[in-house]
Amino acid sequence: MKFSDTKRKIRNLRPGEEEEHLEMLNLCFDPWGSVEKWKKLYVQPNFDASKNVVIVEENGEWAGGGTAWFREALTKTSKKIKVYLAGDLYVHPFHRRKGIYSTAMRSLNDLARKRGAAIGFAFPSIYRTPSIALPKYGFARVFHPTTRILVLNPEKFLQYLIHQAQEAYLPRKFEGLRLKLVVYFNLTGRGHKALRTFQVKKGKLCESASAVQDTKKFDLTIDADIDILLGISACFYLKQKALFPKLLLAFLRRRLKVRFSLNFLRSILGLCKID
Amino acid sequence: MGKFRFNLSRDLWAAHYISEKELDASNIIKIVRDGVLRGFAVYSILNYDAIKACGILDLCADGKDVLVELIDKIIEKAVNSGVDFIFLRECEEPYDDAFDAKGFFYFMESVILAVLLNPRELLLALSERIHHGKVLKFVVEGFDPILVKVGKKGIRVIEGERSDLKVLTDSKTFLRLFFGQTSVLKEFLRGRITIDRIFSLSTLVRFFSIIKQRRWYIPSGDWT
Repeated sequence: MKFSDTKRKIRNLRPGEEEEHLEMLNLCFDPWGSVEKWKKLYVQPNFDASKNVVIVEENGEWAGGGTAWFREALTKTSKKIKVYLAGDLYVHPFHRRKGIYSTAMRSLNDLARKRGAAIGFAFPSIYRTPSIALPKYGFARVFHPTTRILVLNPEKFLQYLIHQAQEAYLPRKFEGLRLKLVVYFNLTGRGHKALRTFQVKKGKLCESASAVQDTKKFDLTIDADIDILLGISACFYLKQKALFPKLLLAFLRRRLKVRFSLNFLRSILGLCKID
Repeated sequence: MGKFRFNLSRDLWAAHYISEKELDASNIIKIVRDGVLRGFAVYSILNYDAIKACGILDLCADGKDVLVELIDKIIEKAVNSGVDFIFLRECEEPYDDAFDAKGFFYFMESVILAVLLNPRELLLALSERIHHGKVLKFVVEGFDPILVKVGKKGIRVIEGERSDLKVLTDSKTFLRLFFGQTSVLKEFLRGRITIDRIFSLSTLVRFFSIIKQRRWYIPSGDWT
């Protein structure tokens, strides 16, 4: 079927479709969350799901959507402006790469503009695709919030990070990369060392079952303190110029050691693929 | 000077964090001295499969000593609950060293993006009753031109007057200037903002210094 033959329709969520909407979110985000989470976000004061939730239909099928939350913001001189928060943009797996996300995003911006919002906000993770996709729809980075962490159980925290990293977007040039990670935690009164091995498969970071000790078998080996590792990965995803001074400083302070194969260097320079 | 912040009504605060009925529940810590509430923290214990995390949702203290006491109490509660890590997403706040001293480290995991939908509405909201100043014809690509009078301490959106200078920019540059992430001079040199009368650049600099919102607060409950 040609795209020109398709009929695309934008509508609002209808009363009674709440359960189906939650199912769609869980299907597309795999998973999104519980009924309690849905209620927390979708049963709020001054929020009407039948006016704020946009649905994109493709040939009569529910293909995607998004949600707008409206807020009142106060400027530094306490002047009031209406703003909106864009969130929960999703596309059904059968309808991906057809521009459904673009339609939903543009519809949300139009809806917000008609309802008097002067500015829209979005809060994507730097490791996920929306942080890369949203600038195409006029979004600009305005604030870089920080997350404070106190690690009490390093192994469990690392497990959580790996789970998050497995959902992150990885550039195609890292396909096949074999990575060895040695992470140091400086906990109050004691230190902790953790070792993990990975391979990039189909754009995702997959944990290897056995921790092979032979460094030569890895394309990249990183020895780093946890805060250095997280700082560098954030700079890499944000494409910040601070990455190089940060790397240099960490090297000089001996808080970061990196070993890489010739193959890895070639792939970074775009000369070949990692096999 | 205040900061750009979301106006959190009582019912929205309750929806985000905790209802008034549950204010004495175990997931709120309050510091009361001489019968006066000096600070509070709302936290939530979250389970990610076999991992237990303590998320500090809202934290408010009227001094560093109160903040330190709150952090100590949160750590104590988290340890007693068998939590694996404690996290807090923070806006630009003072007393950051209080967290460092307790062994917290920081990293970036999210970014706040903004899109300009209606510059006229935005500038109208920021308008003051000023009568004297240069008139700037402000053009943000993709939007209708706006006439703005730039006074010494305020701006005003006006109609039907002759402009003294014309400024052209794009919406992303406007937002970065509005939220204080860049400077007029830098963007002018990069060619992202143009002005027809170079000698009036100081008017443009003043315009952005008046409307600039450098400090900010967005409640973590709104980070959808």
